[in-house]
Amino acid sequence: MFAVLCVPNFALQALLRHEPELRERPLAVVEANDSNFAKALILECTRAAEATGVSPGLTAPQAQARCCELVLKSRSPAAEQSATEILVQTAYAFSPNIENTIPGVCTIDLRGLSFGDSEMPEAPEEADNQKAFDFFQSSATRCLIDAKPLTEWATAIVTALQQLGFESQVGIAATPSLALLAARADKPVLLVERTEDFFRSLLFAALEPTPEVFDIVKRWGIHTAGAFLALGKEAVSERLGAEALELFHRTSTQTIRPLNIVVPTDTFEEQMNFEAHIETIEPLLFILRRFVEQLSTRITLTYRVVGELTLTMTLESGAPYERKFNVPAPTANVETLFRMLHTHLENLRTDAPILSLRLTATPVRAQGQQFGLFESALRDPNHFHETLARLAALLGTDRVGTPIAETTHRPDAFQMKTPEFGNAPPRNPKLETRNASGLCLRRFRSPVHADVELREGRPQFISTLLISGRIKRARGPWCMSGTWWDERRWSRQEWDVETEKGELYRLRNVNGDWLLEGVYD
Amino acid sequence: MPSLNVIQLRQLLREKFPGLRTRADELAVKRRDGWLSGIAKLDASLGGGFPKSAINEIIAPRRSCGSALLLTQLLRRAASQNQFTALVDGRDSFDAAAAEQSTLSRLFWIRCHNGEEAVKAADLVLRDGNFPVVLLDLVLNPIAELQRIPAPTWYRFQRIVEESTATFVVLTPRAMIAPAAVRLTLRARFGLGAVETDQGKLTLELDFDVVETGRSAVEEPLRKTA
Repeated sequence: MFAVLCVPNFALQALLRHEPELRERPLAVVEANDSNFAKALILECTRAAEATGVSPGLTAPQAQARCCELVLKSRSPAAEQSATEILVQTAYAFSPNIENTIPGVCTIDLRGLSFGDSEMPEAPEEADNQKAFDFFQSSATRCLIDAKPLTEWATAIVTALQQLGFESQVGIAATPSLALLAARADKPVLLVERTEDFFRSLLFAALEPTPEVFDIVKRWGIHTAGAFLALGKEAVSERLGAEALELFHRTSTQTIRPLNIVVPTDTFEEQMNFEAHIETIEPLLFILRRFVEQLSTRITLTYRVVGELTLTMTLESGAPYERKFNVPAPTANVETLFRMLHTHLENLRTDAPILSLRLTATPVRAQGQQFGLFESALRDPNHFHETLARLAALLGTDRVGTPIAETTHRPDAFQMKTPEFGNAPPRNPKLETRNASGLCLRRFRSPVHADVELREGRPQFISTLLISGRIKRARGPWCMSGTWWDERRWSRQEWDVETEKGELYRLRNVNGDWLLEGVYD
Repeated sequence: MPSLNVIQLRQLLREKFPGLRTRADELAVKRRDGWLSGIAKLDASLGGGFPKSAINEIIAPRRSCGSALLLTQLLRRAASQNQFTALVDGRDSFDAAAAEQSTLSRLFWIRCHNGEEAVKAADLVLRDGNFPVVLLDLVLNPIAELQRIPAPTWYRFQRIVEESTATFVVLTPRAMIAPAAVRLTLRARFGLGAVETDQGKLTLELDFDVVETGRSAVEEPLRKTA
């Protein structure tokens, strides 16, 4: 058995995927290389446009004469390519044996798939097509194939594509060509159980004959495919020639063509070129939210989650802008992913308007993690990284993080690192060998200049912007130096002093200049 | 004597909303969940550590009274329990050399330059909800700068903390947080010898008054520890 997944008006649907609100408006897709629609032909149009008399084949001026509100849009090969990828990826989520037949049509081989309690039976070898067809059509096989789970399976595909912005139809039949005819019938899901019944109700036009053949057959009073096939292959081919043979071939139940099996690309990308350049954040966020929703749904269909997002924007100045967002705890949650982009964009200023936008998601397998009894971890790493980004935007990246002490004796030597709390091992108190001593220092990170009076080489009086007064007691000098072998050399003389008010300070003397370095507290 | 209507209304409210407090003298008996600081004297005074889901204010009315020592002890305590701590440093004054690397590796240090930055940063960290212990250090910030922090800010923080299980401790130079559940005033005076004394001994010398405000702005001290 085969299923064919068909997206009618594919060019139109590919174009309106990110603008679903336009579906209710009269809109037509034209084949035009530029914005000059004078001689362009209408390819496809919305139902609202059809209701006003617009139909494929009209020229754009003719269509606009019938409907003055008609919106014309050029066909977009990029949008169609992207839509084809989505179609193939969605089909692949339901069966490993798929064929990208033509744009908007995907054929699925159902062999080996399970439906309900039964498994789709293996057909005889393809070389013996008649046997294969007879096998599928036999009453014994039909008993094995339960129509209900098969229809539910097909409905699930239609629903999945609906979430991605496509209206689709699925046909299921014994051969790919029959399944295609069933898919093009105006029903979301059609399972062809009895071929004769199906052809009896199928319009002859559905076989897509040439206009000449269609007119002749119509004059014969034949309107359905069943009536046409009943005429007999030899009798019809004598009168209509080779084309009639081709029509019989399309409806043949004796030929199962081999599928050209494809594997979808692992690219999850959404792109949009803006007709009007974007200068503010609101429309950008609006589009990005739809992109994130689409990408999340697509990746979820593959049973994976988003590990990284790449945002690319083309500016009017020609300069590209690209930014990668690593998702700390890979997820497919739309809110989480969107917040990451939102946080970044609200602090972004570009020097020119935005012409196009592209968002690429890298899928990864979902991480299952069980915490140990004595381990700790952040509850929501994604939220923390969003907070980190907000704090970095508020204060600067160098003022937010985890301090790492440098391997030097130079006072106040440390580096700020991005926190990696997810990897923090449990602390082992036995390894803590250091005995901390003394009151802790509160540092004045911009040391305060001090005027210090000395008596017998010891500080006696201090005057700064913060404090002023007699020094009751002083301990020092504590001489320190280091890195004498290169230009980073340092040396200093420190004093610990107690003022009359009982406050304890650290003073630093560098080449005769006194600085108040901090207060012991 | 309440009128009959009021009594009936209370009765009605009790039936409709069980557990609702309908009289001022019906104080809700709620068992407080506390975070132990690891300093026995302090935990005993607080009746089981700093209350979680509430604002705790530590006042350092004068310099060299041990507020930085207490702050470092709290960081060590959180790290020893494998907890991550966020330190919003209002004047970028924390000395990273005072703590061991194992303590620092669990510290999220936010280095602010003024009170306004510190309040904004604290707001983000509290809303983040990832940190079981959040410390906001405003001891070195000028009083004039702290007075510019609108009073509703602290009520907003209280609302955020209420919804979490975080322990939120604010160190200030004077009492300024009206909705603080606990207010602790440091009274210790250390001499120059404290610069070289073992921190374990210094911690024992910490002296403080504890006021359980029950969110009211002014109350007399419940306990005084000398």
